[in-house]
Amino acid sequence: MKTNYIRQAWVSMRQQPVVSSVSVIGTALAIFLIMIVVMMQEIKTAPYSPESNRDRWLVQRYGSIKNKAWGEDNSSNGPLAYNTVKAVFYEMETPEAVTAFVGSPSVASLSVSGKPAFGAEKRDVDNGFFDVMDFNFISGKPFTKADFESAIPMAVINESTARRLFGSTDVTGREFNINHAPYRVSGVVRDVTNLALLAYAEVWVPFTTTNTANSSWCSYMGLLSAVILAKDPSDFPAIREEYNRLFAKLGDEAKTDGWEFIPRDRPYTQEVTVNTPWANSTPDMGKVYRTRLIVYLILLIVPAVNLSSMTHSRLQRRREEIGVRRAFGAKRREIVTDIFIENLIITLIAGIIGFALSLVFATIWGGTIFMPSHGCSSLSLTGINLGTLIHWSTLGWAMLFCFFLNLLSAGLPAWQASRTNIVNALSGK
Amino acid sequence: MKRKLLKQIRNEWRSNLWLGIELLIVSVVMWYITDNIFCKTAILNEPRGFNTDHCYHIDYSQLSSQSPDFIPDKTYEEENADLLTFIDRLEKRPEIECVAMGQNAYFYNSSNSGTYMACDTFNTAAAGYLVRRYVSPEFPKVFRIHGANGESPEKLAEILEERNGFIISDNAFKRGYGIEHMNEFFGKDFYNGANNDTLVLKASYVPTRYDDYSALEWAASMIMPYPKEYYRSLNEMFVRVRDNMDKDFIENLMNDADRHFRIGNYYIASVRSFDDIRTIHQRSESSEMRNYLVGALFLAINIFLGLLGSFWFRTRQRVPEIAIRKANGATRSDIFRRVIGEGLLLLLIVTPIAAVIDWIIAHFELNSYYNGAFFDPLRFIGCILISSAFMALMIVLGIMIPANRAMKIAPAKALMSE
Repeated sequence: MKTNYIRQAWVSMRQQPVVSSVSVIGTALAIFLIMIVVMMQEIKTAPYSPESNRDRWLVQRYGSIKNKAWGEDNSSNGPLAYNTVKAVFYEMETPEAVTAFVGSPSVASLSVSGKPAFGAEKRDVDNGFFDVMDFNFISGKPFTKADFESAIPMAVINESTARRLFGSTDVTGREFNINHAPYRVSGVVRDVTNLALLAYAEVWVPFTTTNTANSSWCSYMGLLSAVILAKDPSDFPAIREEYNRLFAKLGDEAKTDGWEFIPRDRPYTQEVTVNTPWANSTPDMGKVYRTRLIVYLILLIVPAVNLSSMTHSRLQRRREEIGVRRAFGAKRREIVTDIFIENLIITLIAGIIGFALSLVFATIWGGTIFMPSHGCSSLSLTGINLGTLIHWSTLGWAMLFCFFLNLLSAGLPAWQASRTNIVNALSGK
Repeated sequence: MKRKLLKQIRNEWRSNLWLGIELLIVSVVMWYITDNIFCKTAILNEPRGFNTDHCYHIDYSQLSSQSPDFIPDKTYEEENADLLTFIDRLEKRPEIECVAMGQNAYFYNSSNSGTYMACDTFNTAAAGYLVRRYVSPEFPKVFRIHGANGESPEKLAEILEERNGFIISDNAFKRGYGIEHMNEFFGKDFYNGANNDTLVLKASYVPTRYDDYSALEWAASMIMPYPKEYYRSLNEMFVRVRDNMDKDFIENLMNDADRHFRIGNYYIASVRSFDDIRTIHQRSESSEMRNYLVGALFLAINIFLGLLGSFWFRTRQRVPEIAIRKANGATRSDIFRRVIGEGLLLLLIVTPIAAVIDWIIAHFELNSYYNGAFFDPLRFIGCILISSAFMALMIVLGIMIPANRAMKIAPAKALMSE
């Protein structure tokens, strides 16, 4: 039975080569574009190294504060101070790990004596950073809690930087200068894509060894962002409850000087955080989902209507065949199912072509089309490798869209064709 | 001919309905995209009010206490003096034209600070956010900001040397009070909401937009100078390089950084050109515009394919009819035009319905905002015309191949099979 469908599909395609190839191209194009759009979304939220735990994260990139003396509509929105981090995030007990780090890496001058200095992107972090993120260490290990708290100048560097500084990657323990201050290599990691917005850098140092720890104004706002790693997403409500309690306690203390925190529903899951780039806005996920739905609908419905009219035309030519089958007792339901499955085969083949094309396109031009969400300060985008793109979920989405496309484009014509009057069909009217 | 075409369209109403629905949906979406790109392009072409060509951002910093070269216990005045030496050395480089400092001052910056300035009953807050830039007096020279009354950047720099003064963009009171120019407020005292002090308005400058995608309408800002003794409190540094001297500027400066620019605890961490800063800052807007264009292209290809498929089938089906027409004296181009005319007539029928839907979308303010309105009759009609013209082009291209085939039908051969 199954081979019959495939043979039938092939024969019907060969009978009308132009209309069939237009249908296949149209379907492949639609699936291609939809998959690119899906991949652009996935890049921002799907887990990949070193942000492999994105689904268990709660992120607070910025805080918001206002003062009684400023008036109602005024606020200051930006990263947090070390004090705030110590009072809230470091006190938490429910999560698996927490980390505080500088949200945007800055370019630092790296040098080894005897060689010219060069610039590399440096991110100031704490020891918890390496528990929350998932770096691939090819040599050495991250700096420890003791290193961090005692402000020992250790640094984790990526392999490109290791090669540029020392000519090899087996360089744990070697010394080099960061901004004219000596550091020792604690470990070397694989290069990281700058689409991993929060983890990306070329050098990571404890922020207690730089001016970051003391950079704050009003003692609540400074340079740090934070990520909470839950053991499981079901812990999120408990974590939020603990967070709110600790933040309220800090807020009471702040009130004595007239300061008041503006919560803005923080902390955010990864999905919410990538859709809320600005420090002074409250998330509006409803709008985000509506826009996304409309885009997908347009990308599906326009080709579907297109294909529908072409399927309808193709089926017109088979009216006699359908008439004969019905004269021999085939039920309408069977006819509809047959046509539907035949079309589904063609749609799936076209869908696979479209999906393959989208993967090729994403690999070659990924650097240009995949944007990190706002805040990436590097000039060139490193893109991503194929392994991270092919997800079961991505493939699943592709098949789902194929199915819907087919349903929309073949459903009605199939139903109409099955209702042809047998006599009229046989007589060719 | 048109009446007969209409009749023919009506006779084949089922398949034309599908085509019609597709054309309708695509018309509406195409109009939305055209509207969006039109507004973005209009904003991109508005005058910037500043110039960042040949400008560079010097990321300077102070050594941390970890560095063996760190000099502890420096007073504010000593650090300020170091900074002035730093600037002086930069200015002495032959390729550098001028140097300025600032705090949340530079353009294409993702962070900003605001304030409100109030004079008598007038307050800039009536129109919303007023961007405030704290700068050293050379700032207008680096970014070529011109006075609203014809003052050159050098003249504005002189004005900023005066104490207790500030300059404001000429449109600061425009949105709130309809006041086009600030001339009548020169010399008056303004209360500065951010600092709780009073400043005298010295001059006004041609409005500077926030970035290329921010409209002039919302671009109200003020510039307040810091005197030399307080440069230590600013934290940004920019230079303008002389025209034609950009080549290897960053590399040369970084090569000299360790020898000439280690002053006190100050050093140069990195240098970035404003071209790069602009690209990074506007990355998401420019990619969004590109995505819209790709979307429009996708829809156009769909129309093309859809019409190609439908009309290919139709011309096959209508071979006898076309043969008879030819036998009755229709020329090849008559046939060609008739087939294409059918597609265009469909578009003509669909366009008014699409226009009504477009109007509803604009009425609910779901489209793009520009120059005070979501719906502007001229822009609305213009965008509908542009999107319809584009669709007509795709229709003609899509039908051309089948129409060509129809044109070539030999009547005798075709009627023979009948």
